[in-house]
Amino acid sequence: MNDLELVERFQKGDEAAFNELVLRYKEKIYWTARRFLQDHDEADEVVQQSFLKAYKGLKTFRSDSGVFTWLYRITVNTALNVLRKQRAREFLGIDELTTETGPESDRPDEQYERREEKALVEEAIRRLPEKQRTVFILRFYDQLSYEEIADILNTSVGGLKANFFHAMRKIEEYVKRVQGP
Amino acid sequence: MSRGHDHIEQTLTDFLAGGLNDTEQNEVQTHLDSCPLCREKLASLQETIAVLERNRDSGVPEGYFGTILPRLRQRIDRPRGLGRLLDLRWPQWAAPLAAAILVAGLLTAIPLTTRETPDLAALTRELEADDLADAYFDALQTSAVPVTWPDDPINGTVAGLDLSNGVLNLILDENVLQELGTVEDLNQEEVETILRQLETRTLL
Ligand SMILES: [Zn+2]
Repeated sequence: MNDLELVERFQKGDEAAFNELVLRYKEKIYWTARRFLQDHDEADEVVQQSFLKAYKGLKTFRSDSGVFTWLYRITVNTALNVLRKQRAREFLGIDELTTETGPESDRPDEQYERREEKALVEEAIRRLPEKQRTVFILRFYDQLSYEEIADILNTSVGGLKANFFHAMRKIEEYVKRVQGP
Repeated sequence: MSRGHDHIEQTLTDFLAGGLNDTEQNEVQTHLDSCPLCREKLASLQETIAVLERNRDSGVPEGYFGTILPRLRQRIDRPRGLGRLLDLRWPQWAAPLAAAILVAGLLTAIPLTTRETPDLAALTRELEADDLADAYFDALQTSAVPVTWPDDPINGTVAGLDLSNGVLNLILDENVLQELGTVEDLNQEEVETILRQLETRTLL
């Protein structure tokens, strides 16, 4: 059964059809949220909130964009809201500015270097402006086409390639600057 | 004819991913064959992508994905509507917070007279926090309130020091406002901080 058929069944009161949509997309939704927030618990809450919003919204869903695109849009918006709230908390001095959790051991073994490199990548992505970060995640990690991204973000394809390019270049510069040439 | 370095550079990631059409793919390849500068950029980009790729995976607690649907169903199936509201959804500080948000809006709305003010008391009786935030923001849409949020972390930090303006912008930011709308998510300390910042703000 395709997505739209599931939606139609759900709109007629079939709760199992909604469950099927959740099962179908939960992992994709989770990973997108996780890329944005870089934290499992935060990502988990975004998954729950996104599906809750979808549950409410699907009752009146019209098929002008695909179900999946629509779900993605909800997830991206929800994740961005959490990010903004984090910044708001930092802004108000409620949270410390996000800092890297230090390595558990300072032995220069491979595992340590790997952890350090991962933290570096996350920091590079965290430093991106919101739109570049969004386009980068959807393009690089989710491997969506520019057309799909444009649909999700409700924007034109035009600027997206430049957003992606600038994001990639900033990540490259940051990683090289910290890691050395 | 080959296009310039800048254009080629912008397409290198898509080139590597095979995301270009045949014509574009050929165009980039032709340019690379004759341009050491862009070949260097390509090599550098390949290194960065390798770094990103080998750090792609993050840990997920075992069995996590199986828990998503059952927990979601629990949230969906719990009492809704009036029952939910009566179920102590509004902590005692929710109304002062909503009032503070409204006051912040009133202080900055220019011109005041062109805008209808939502009846806060009625709203708080009838609506959930989310709806209140939405209704309030709808009312704000018609007024010229500059809302900015610096994307750049450095500017953001500088702006962060300017609390009197900053907090106001923060509270009037659509998305933050929606977050504030879910007041049950805020803890007492956060609410008090916001209220304190609003109090210290002088009138225009
Ligand atoms: Zn070149």
